[in-house]
Amino acid sequence: MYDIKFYGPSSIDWELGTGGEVRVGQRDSGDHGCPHDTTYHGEDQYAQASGTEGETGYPIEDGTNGHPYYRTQTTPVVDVTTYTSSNKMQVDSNEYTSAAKSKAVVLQVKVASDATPGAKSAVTFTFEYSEI
Amino acid sequence: MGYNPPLVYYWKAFYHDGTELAQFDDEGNEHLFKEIDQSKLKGFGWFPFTYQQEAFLKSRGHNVRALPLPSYVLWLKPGQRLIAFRRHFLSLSIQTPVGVSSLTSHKVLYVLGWQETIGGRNMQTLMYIDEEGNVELSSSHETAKKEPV
Repeated sequence: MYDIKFYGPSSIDWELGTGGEVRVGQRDSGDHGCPHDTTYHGEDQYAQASGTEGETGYPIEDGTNGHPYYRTQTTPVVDVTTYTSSNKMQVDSNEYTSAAKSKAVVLQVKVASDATPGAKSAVTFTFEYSEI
Repeated sequence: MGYNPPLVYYWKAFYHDGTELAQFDDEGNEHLFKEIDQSKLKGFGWFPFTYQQEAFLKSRGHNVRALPLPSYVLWLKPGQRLIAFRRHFLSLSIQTPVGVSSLTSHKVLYVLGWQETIGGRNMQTLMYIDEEGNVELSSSHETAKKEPV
């Protein structure tokens, strides 16, 4: 299994307010996926955003409290709608020949104070990979 | 192997000496693509399973499905290098406010083609075969990545 890519729709109608978006963690070079590495989070865990539940949260790019794998990058996040079927995100370029955990896509929803509350419609994201 | 979705095509390699290597042998053992001896490869194909093959391979634990599909065989010319793989597309539906996610589709394309260097340029010609046997042909100087309709 190799060549894992990720993409979604070109727009997401979640009414997240001014500057609101669904964003994805980015590396300045190489794969954008976050490795299963205990440097960044515990085994079988992920680096959960911190803050005050229901009030505020730290963005991935926050220099102190952001995601440890992305916060030091020049461009730590982009709007996930950047990645569509014609512009796919490279998640993991490694080849896996036995059971393993690939690099992960790190998503975050940025909700502005003027966002429209309520349940939102489902959004479909797609992972691709090759095998032989 | 526990393929999901089930395989609808298996591969078979044809050698210049008249011998063949198929993905599944008569005992139901599965061979790996890397076992193919590329140096003596004459041709390669994707073949649909017969109903007999389906029953036998299922009894050996392989998740395969027999469908009335066409076969696709490529005969390589000198200087051409085989390209063959399966490309998976897993779609997940994600919904707020609780991040509910579910697998909405899992499609597979069976890819068959060749690479060759012409005038110093890396040329590739690929067939993208879906699980219903439909095919799209793509030719470019770099690997194209189609997606199932």
